[in-house]
Formats: sequence, C-alpha cells, structure tokens
Amino acid sequence: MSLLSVFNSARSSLSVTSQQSALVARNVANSADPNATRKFGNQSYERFGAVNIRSIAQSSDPALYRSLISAQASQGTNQTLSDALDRVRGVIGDVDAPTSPSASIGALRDALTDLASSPESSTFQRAAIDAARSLTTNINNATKSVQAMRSDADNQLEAGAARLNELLGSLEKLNAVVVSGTQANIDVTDEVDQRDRLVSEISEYVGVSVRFRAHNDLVLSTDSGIVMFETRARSVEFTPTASFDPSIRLDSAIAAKRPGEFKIDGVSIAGASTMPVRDGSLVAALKLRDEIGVEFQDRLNQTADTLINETFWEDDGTISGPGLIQRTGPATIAIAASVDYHQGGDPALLRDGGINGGASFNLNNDAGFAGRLNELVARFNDQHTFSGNEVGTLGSFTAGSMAWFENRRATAGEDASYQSVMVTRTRDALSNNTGINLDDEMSHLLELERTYQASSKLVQTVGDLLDSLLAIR
Amino acid sequence: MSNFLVSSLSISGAPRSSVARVQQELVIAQKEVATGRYADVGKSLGVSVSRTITMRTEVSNIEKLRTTNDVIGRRFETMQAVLGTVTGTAENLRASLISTSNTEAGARVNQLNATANISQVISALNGNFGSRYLFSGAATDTPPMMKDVVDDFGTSLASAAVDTAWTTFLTANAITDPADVTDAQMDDFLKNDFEAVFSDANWAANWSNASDADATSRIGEADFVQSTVSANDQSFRNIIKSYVMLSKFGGDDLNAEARQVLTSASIENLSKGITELTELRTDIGLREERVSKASDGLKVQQKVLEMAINAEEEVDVYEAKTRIDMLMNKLEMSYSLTARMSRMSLLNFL
Repeated sequence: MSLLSVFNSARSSLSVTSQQSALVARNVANSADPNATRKFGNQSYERFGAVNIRSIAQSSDPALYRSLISAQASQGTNQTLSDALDRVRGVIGDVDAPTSPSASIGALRDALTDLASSPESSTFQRAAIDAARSLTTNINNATKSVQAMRSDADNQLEAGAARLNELLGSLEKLNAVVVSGTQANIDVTDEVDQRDRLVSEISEYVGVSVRFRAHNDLVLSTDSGIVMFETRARSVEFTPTASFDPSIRLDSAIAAKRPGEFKIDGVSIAGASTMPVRDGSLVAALKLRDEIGVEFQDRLNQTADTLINETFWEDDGTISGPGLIQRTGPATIAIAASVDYHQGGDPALLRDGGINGGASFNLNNDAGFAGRLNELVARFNDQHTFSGNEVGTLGSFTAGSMAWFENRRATAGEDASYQSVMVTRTRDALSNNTGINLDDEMSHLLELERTYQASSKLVQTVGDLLDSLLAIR
Repeated sequence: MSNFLVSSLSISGAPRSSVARVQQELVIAQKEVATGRYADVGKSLGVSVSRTITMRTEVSNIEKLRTTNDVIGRRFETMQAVLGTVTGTAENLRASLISTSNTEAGARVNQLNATANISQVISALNGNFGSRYLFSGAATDTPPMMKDVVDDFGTSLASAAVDTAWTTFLTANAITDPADVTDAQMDDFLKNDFEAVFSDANWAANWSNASDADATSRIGEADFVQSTVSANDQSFRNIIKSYVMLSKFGGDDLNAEARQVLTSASIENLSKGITELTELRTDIGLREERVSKASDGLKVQQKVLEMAINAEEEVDVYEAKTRIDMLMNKLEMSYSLTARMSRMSLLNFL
C-alpha cells in the first residue's frame, strides 16, 4: 500500500459517488412514473480497494409482474362484459321498469283483461292496441340494443386489432434495443421499463404469458400459447362486419352472414379455435358478439315468435293466420295495420277476429262479445316449450330471459369489481417492491454526501501528506 | 435494491383509490336509503329476479282484475236497482188489480197505470252503465228496446200489431161492438191471437233489439261469470204483456164477464213475470256474490305477492343508514390522512 493507492481509491470513490448521485437524481425524477423501477448501480472492488460501477441494474419481481398482467387480463374481460351488459340494461330497464319485455307483455295482458270486461268500449280497444304497440316497440328496442352491443363489440375488436399491431411493432423495436444493449453491457433499464409497460398494455387486450431467453430477449404468447412476439411481431388480423342483425352469427350456413374472426399469427383466438384465449377485453368482446348477444337475441326472437304464432294466432277452424302481432323483418315485429287505428285500421277486430282477413269469432256481431278476448287473455297462461326444452308460460319465459341476463350482468359486475381490487393491490405490491421511495433516495443521497466528503477529505489529506513530504529539504 | 417496502407512488396513491371506492359505496347506500330497495336489483339478486318479475306481472294483473271486477260488480248493482223498481211498480199494479178491478172506475185507473207502466219498464230496460246497455245481452252497444216503442208506445209498430190482432179477431167473429165479446171469446183471443203478438219472432220484430247471446267476463285467473242480461227474458215479456193487455182493453169497452177474464189473465201474467223477475234478481245476486268473493281472494293474493316482492328486493334502511355514517367517517379520515401524508417528507427535515 502506498499513499498513491489511497489517493487512487479516494478518487474512484469520488467518481462512483457522483455516478450514484446521478442515479439518485434519475430515480427522483422517475418517482411519479408508475411503470418506472428503481435503478441502482452494481459496485465492484478492484485491486487495492478501488471501486467502480460495473453495471446499472433495476429492482424487479417477476412473480408479481406476472400476476399483475394476468389480473389485468381478467379485469379486461369482466370490465368489458359488465360495461356492455350495463348499456343494454339501460335500454331494457330495471326489473320494475314498464319498458322491459316482460312488463310490457304483462301490460298488454292487463289491457286485454280490461277490454274483455267492456268489449264494446272503443277506448279500451284503443288502449289494448296501444299496449300491443308499445310491446312491439319495446321488443324491437331490446333487439336494437342487443345488436348495437354486438356492433360495439365488433368495433372494439377492430380498434383492438389495430392497437395490438401497433404495440407489437413497438415491442419489436424496443426488444431489439434491449437485447443488443444487454449484449454490449449498456444501461438499458429505461428501455426494459418501457417494454414492461407495453406488455402490460397488451395484457389488457389478451391474456399473455411472458418468457425470457438469453440476453433479456422477450417471447410473448397468448395465455393459450399462440405466439404474438418472438424476435419479430406476429400479425393480428380482424375483418369488421359492417352491420349486425339477428341473422349474422358464427353458425350461419352462409359465409357472408358470419361475423369476422379475430386471428393472431393466423390462429383464431375464440369460437371454434384450437387455442382459445382465456382472458382479455378482446375475448370478452368476442363473447358479447357471438355468445351473449346471440343467445339473448334468440330469447327475444322466441318471445316474439310465441306472441305471433301462439298467443295472437287466429284460427277459427277454417281460416288461420297471424293476428294482432306480426313479423315485419328479421329484427322487427309490429301490430297488424288492419287493427292499428293510427293507420286507419279497426281496433274492434281484436274482439271479432279477422285481423288477417277471414277468420271470424264473433258470429252474431255482438258488440259485447268477449269470447275471443277471454281466450286471448287465457292464452297468456298457456305452457309453451321453448328451445333447450324450457317449458313455461310466456311471462315466465321472458322473466327467465331477464333473470338470465341480470345474472350474467351480476356475475360480470362482481368479477370486475373483484378483479379491479386485485389489479390495484397487485400494482401496489409491485410498486412497493420495485418502485421508488423518495425518502429512501434522500437518505441514500445523505450517505453519498458523507462518502463524498470523506473521500475528498482523504484526497486532501493525502495531498497534504505528499506536500509535507515534498517540503522536506 | 431497496430496503423500503413502500414506494412513494403507492403511498400517495393508496388514499386516492380508497376514497374512490368509498365514494362509490356511498352513492349506492344513499340510493338504498332513499328508495328502500337495492340500488341495482338485478346486480344484487342475479338469477332470482325472475321471481320478482313474474310476481310483479302477477300483481299488476290482479290489480287489473280487481278494477274490472269492481266495474262488473257495479253493473250488477245498477241492474238490481233497475229491476227493483220494475218489480215494485208491477207489484203495486197487481195489488190494485186484485182489489179494485171489479168497479168501472177502478178499471179505468188501472188502465191508466198500466199505460204509464209500459213506458216505465221500457225506459228501465234501456238503462245503461257507462258505454254499455245493461239489458241488451251481448249486443251491449245497442239499446234493447226499439226506438219507436221508446218514443211513444201508442204510435209504435208494437202497438199497431196488437190493434191489428184485435180488429182481425172482431171481424173474424163478426163482432161490431167490443161490449158484445163473450168471456169465452175473450179467453180465446188472449190465449191465441194476443199471445202470438208476443211470440219470439214478433218480439224480435216489433219490440226488442237485444241479443239472446250471453257475454262472459273473467273475474279471476280461470273464473268466469255471465255478465249480461237480455231484455228478451220471459219475465220482462210477461210483465209487458200484462201491461199492454190492461192498457189496450182494460177500459169500460168490454162487458163485465169479458173484463173479468182480462183481469185474471193480466194478474196471472203479472204474477208469472214478477216470480221470474225475482228469480232473475236472485241469479244476479249470486253472480254479484261470486264477483265480490273473487275480488276478496284476489286482494289477499295481491297482498301476499307484494309482501313477497318486498322481501326479495327490500333492503334494511337502518342498516343502509349506519353504513352511510360509517362510510362518511371513513371518507373524512381518508381526507385528513391524505393531507397529513402529503406534508410528510424527509425533505422537511434536511
């Protein structure tokens, strides 16, 4: 050991301290960035006690990071479902709202009960027609809102595909920088932070699994194993559908009536897929578009068809045909023009029959004839067999549809709020483990200050010693 | 590496996210206190909303049935009141016939009364309730008695038919003065020619527009009641027949014997009519009772259903209120913590 080596050590200490201070400054500057991790310098000792910063590292916790991205994916699923179902429910209304299909069926039955007690009253006849009209409007509105929900989901998928391609493109560039930087031992910690941020954003769209190879090279695949990024970004494809109506569905026999598939790297991520993705907002959008929307629409159609073909069907033994309510399109029903007094029709046909021409029940032409009306009211209590062998009255079926819907909504809402708490907690935990604490940085700065003072004191002392040595004559 | 287990970001973020959550819960609790039911019934009950939806439609249907039952009941009440007055006047005339018909003066009074009674019965039968004629059978939009009979019986087709029958009878038997009609001839006339004027076909042609068809009304889930009465009922015909008899022939034209035959025939018809009318009123009374029983049953059913709906959808308002208090405490605490924590920094001590 010599005075010069002391001098060298003190000098290296000064240099390390200033580098460390620079890191502290960087950390302080990043303290408000939720994606930034704490950077720290790895010091190493050389011969004769000199130190230097070998590399810059960052705090990390891969396990927590993985649970954050999977929690984000499930939150994406449930939040998307919950939001979309809430919107549809805004149209259908609360369980006690008069606009729900089941409430309007009840209202029509009430109006017919009223009319049956005063069949000659044109006021009650018109009231019954109005009730039927609002029933058709409400069912049509419900259909419209379900189709709008599917169309929104389709738009979301289109935007999602574009965004994913963008994110994967940036990921490709960043990953190249990280890999080459790691090989050259350059500080790439900020790029790694950025890359993590991209992966975390991707995980909101689809559930992902992350693996790392040599030189911090990232490989990204969906939670079902479809490769999204491996050295280079894989393509995300989606063809949007222009407009939705109940006939557009995945199991349609006509290719033009099938909505677009969402493909990553050429593999479909849902539906009849070999590798269906479990989580993410895009999976939820596909579910809304192709499962929930289709099934709820199916229930609305069955309600409408039962009203048309069973409840209000006219059959006097010789002539039969649709009565009060008729189908006017794949997504619309309406009351027959011949009874609609707005269109110059005769509402008394509701009592007498013959809405569709021909069939007649009121053989004596009595104004007080209530037989047909009583029959119509009684038909609301008829048991029907709906698809899936569901047996019940029209009222119980529509109530069941509402319950099915509300149950979906309740589950999605509950899961979404649970997952959002999960995400917050995980993010906090991750931030606690890898993030920056200002007080910590400040106290670290105090340490550095002391070290710097001590080192400069050493330099000064060694200088004095050397001076006094040289002063000997 | 970091020895700290809390980052600055999560310190400052923690109160913010908890404030947001508390505020959301506060909105829900406030709505529950205000309405007394779940803020979002569908979300809280899930699949079991099908029960409350079905029950709610049931309740609205029961309410509707109860109001229509009230209407049907009031129609029956009006019918009863109308029939009551018809019976009353018929009974009075019968009493007067029995006591005073053997004097000529009495006979003339009875004839005048009978003439007045005809229009009384006819206007009673044309009584209506709301938009509906009560005694038209199923043809509820047509007045049961024909217009000319209502306007003036004396000039009506019905009256002319009786006159024609009488003159034809007199001509056929070569009688020039009604006083020459024997009691046997009078009996023959009343039993055959006069009776024919009130046959079903002639009644429908000259008197009545009412329908023989009945209309039934629903008073419960599967409970029906016949809600119409027709003016074609035999009771009305017998009473009117007796009135017409007296009004046309009851004066002093006939000789005493023939008048005796007329009086007893009209008493007989009147009695028959009154008995039939009483039967009709009893029948209507029974229907009234069925309607009110059905309504009572419906009322109970409605109460039960309403209670069941409330049991499903209602929240404990007191609980919701204490929840609000608790949440507000939490919120205030959170605010003051945020303020304190933002002031806390090592920088203040360096």
